[in-house]
Amino acid sequence: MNTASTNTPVTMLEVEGVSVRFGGLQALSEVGFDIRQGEILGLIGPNGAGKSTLLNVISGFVRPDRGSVHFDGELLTGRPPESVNRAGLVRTFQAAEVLAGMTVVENVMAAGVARLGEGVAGGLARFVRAGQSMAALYRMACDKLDLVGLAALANQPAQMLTAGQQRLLAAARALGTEARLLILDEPAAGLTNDEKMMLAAAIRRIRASGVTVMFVEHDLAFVSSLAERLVVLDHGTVIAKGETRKVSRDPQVLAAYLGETDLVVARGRGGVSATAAPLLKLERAVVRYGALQALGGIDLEVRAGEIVTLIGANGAGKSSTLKAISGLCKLSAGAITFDGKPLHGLAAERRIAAGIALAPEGRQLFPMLTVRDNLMIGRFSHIRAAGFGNLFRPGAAAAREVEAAMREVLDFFPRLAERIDQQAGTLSGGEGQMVAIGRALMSRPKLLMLDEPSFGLAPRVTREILELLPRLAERGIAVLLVEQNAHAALQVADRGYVLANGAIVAHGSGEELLQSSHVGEAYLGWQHEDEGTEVAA
Amino acid sequence: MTEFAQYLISGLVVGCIYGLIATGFTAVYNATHIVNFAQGESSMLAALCAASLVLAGAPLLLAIAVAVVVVGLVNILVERLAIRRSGTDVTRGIIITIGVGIVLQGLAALVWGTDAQPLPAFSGPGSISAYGVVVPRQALWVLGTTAVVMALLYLFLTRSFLGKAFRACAMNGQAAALMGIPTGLMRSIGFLLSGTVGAVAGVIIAPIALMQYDSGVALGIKGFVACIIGGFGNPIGAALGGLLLGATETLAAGYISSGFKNAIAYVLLLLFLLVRPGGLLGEFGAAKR
Amino acid sequence: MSQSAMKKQALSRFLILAAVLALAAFSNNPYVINLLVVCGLYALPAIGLSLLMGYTGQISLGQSAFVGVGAYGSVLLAQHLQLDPWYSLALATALSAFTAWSLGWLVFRLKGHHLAMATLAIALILHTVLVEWRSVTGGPDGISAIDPISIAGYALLDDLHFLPLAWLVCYAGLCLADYLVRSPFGLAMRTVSENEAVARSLGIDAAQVKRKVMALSGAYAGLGGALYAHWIGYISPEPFSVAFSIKLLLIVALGGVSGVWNVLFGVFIVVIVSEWLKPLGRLDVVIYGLLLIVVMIYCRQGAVAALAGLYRKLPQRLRPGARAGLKLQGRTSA
Repeated sequence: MNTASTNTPVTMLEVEGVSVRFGGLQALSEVGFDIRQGEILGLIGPNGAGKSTLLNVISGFVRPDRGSVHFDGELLTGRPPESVNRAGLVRTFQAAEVLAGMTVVENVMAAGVARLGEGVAGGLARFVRAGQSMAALYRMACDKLDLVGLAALANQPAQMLTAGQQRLLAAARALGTEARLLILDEPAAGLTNDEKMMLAAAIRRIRASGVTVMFVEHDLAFVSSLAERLVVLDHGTVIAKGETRKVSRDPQVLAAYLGETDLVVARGRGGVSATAAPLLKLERAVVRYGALQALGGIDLEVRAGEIVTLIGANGAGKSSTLKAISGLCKLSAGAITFDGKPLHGLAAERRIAAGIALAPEGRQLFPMLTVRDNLMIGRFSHIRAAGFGNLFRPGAAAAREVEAAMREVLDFFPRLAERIDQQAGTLSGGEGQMVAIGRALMSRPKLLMLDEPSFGLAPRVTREILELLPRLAERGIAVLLVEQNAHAALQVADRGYVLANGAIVAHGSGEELLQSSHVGEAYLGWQHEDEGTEVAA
Repeated sequence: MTEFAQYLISGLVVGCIYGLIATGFTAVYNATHIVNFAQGESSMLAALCAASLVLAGAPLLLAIAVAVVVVGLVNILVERLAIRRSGTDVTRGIIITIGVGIVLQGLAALVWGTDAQPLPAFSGPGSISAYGVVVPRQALWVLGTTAVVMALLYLFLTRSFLGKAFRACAMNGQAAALMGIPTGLMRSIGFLLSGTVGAVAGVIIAPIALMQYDSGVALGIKGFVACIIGGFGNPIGAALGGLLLGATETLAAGYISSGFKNAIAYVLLLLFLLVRPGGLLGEFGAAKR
Repeated sequence: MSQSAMKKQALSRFLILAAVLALAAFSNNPYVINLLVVCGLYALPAIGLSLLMGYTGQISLGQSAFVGVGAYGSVLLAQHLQLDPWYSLALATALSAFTAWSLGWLVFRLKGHHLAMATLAIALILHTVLVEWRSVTGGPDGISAIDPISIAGYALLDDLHFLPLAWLVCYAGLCLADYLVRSPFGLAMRTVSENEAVARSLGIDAAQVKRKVMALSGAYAGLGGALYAHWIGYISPEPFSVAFSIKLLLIVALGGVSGVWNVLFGVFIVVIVSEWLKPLGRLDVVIYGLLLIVVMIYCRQGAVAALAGLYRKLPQRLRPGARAGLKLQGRTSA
């Protein structure tokens, strides 16, 4: 009965002027939008746009500094999550969060308990009635499982489910609260294409049963095939909202995802011969986290003195690639060769000594140590290798090497020399990123990997950092750059790979990819897969 | 006034011990994110070891040194055999460290029996009096040793490369592992530090307060209270919390009632947990980012 | 499991228990009977702790405090208000539950280590009060000459007469707890234990669930304490120290969370093994500690589940007789 095409849309949820501040970060400012009864609404935006915070505000887990959320005319702001849920609104979590110690059906039954309104007394005293209410819960749960297509697995332990089934279970469990508005947090993350189609079908069935759906998702192909309307969030503000067709053509939205930063890069450096033997080579590399497949067999090469960028939407497998190379996660299949030797079985700390360094996502500095100490820690494995005694006070030889490496880094980032005795936690974002890169350089790596160095930085600072990379490459260091700001990354890179769903969908020189009018679509996946393959071809 | 000064001095002496034990909690917590419920046993073991060695004819200083080293090694062993296998579950970690405490206590009772084992005062049993305040000589040893140990610990953590790596690991274990800092080694160091500091606390207080197989429990809890007062995981807070707790306890025992002296620490613990869980100086972890 | 199957299971457990107890009674061995009474009385606070820790995921080192409140509460009420022990028993149980519920408002603002330490502090404070508040509690000497419980004018003075009462209460407690964990409320408890944020997103008021279970757990502890006081006729602060809390922790950890009835396994091990270990002197404590560590590291689901797993691995012909098998499976099929 509730179809999206009814003539007069009824507003179900209304968000007005919501602002949230965490410490120095304005996570949301003046966010406003509405959800109409019976529709499927998508909430999208690049990483760090504030989507999760917005969900937390709506579901009562975070209290906004300003603004209000109304549901069916009722004020939700300031109410605890359990009370928000009882008003008829339910949310799922990014990691699905199935209750692993229970069976599939018990997961859904748990959702019906609050509505039953039966406490200890009911459980303790009325044996017979308790049995009856359990039977009623069981029937309800089976109905919901049927809706998402999991009825056959009802009595299996929930932890045996695949990642895709866990997402479906989370949705069924949410429905178990008989809510009228279902909010799904990244329901398709990490799912295979088949699973995504099953999920989309389940969401359509859920809507047909009379439940309004809103979902947050990074896979824009999935979003555009499912959502009727979109709300786009960037830097904590709504930059576009409206029908999916219109919003997906909005240049502002494309810019939010790809970035607009233009760089001045001295191209045409000595150049890397395309025939040179690759320093790093990935062959059919597969990474799995439990039931989830993050990388589905990718091939990738980086040569000495080359800047290679890896771009793709959130969850495409970029960070997993870096983790696999640095040894923080294991390959399930395939091989990685570095400097002619296979990396298989080499522990993470040995890989640093072999010449692989990573400046991790979010910088991950040691905030209460000085800049100098942060940099020195970057050389830990070399100092340790020089003998245990060096750990107390590096001996003359080790100290000289530290000194030399430190001088190189400070030459490279003169600004750090001024801040050398300051605590790293007090630095600005750009300086912090310099420390993170400098710390990685302290081990004098052959391969430097950077994970989202521009994250959270102003365009000017992003430019400053990225424009430094060619100078590193000139010294013969191979740079593997993972960037969400694809526009800028492709300008600085010699070559680029585009990842989607754990597979490489496009590959070419930075300029080619940048000028290809398709790269936006390939990267974002707005329209359907056929155009993505064109670029790859 | 004299009475007040007398109480305050005694309080500070006890507070030094609490502060040292609290520092031990801090070292383990920062390296492993485990609250070691067997922390107090280090002090007990060291005191009883030293007492036995002295009884066997060893020179006092040697006995103390050996006892401290032995306890440090025992702690490393405990971490390797039991704690490292406990995983990340908080409840399981708590129960395992409680189990370790029970085992150490039981072994102590087996070896030394249930009677207190006296350790002679370091420079004779006499007292010093000034302005009407009487202080046993050993109290000066307690104050002095605590100051030296704290200073050494401070130097280790802020000046040595290993100490900095240890702190880096506490601030961000993932990034530390990425830099090649072996987390297993840092765990061992954490337990070694906590065992050593706790052992020192045990041997310096033993001549004043008789130590027996079950003395560690109360010391451990008081040390934890000091931690909470100062801000958990914060080494400076731990020392400060110890001194404050010691002084409060002795003053309250002197002016109010000695019977409820122990309860004061526990009531303080509850108050701080509920009203100011970050302690006076704030939790160490809160300074992240 | 269906309703009728549950009833059948409860009945068969009752019969097995009754048979074991009757056997013990006929053996007329006062030592064995005494131990069995102790087992029944230990089981009550352990069931409470199992509900709180095993099923709701909230660690508590303060269970001994509520046992103490029940014991001292019942005795003081009986002596000062001249109440029949039956009434004081009921009142003390309610008092203990209420105390636990009130403290729940305070301590459940905390989690993990802090929760453990706060509950420990509660136990320590109560113990100090029992020792120091001499005018009321009698101090370290405690209170003696406590009226025994009587049924129809017949005082349950010796162990043999007390045995059926202790185990009847224990059996009722087990059945109630078993029903509770299988009820909708039990689902809410398990959800809170696994993931509080999910529970709240599903409309379950996690804080309220924890307080209610805490109150129930306090009631079990209080009832156990009160029965103990009227059975033994003399109480002092000593049995209600933190050491008892830790013993209860061991019982729950040994039993695991695959069923409320597992508590009995833990109780039998702790009470009876500690008797066996007595000749070893102080070594018993060491063995306890080691047991606790080993169970926590290697049998994360509890010793019962581990044993059942081993049993299932045995080849068919090596398995012991049908009855032993029935008991094991009964315990693990919750």
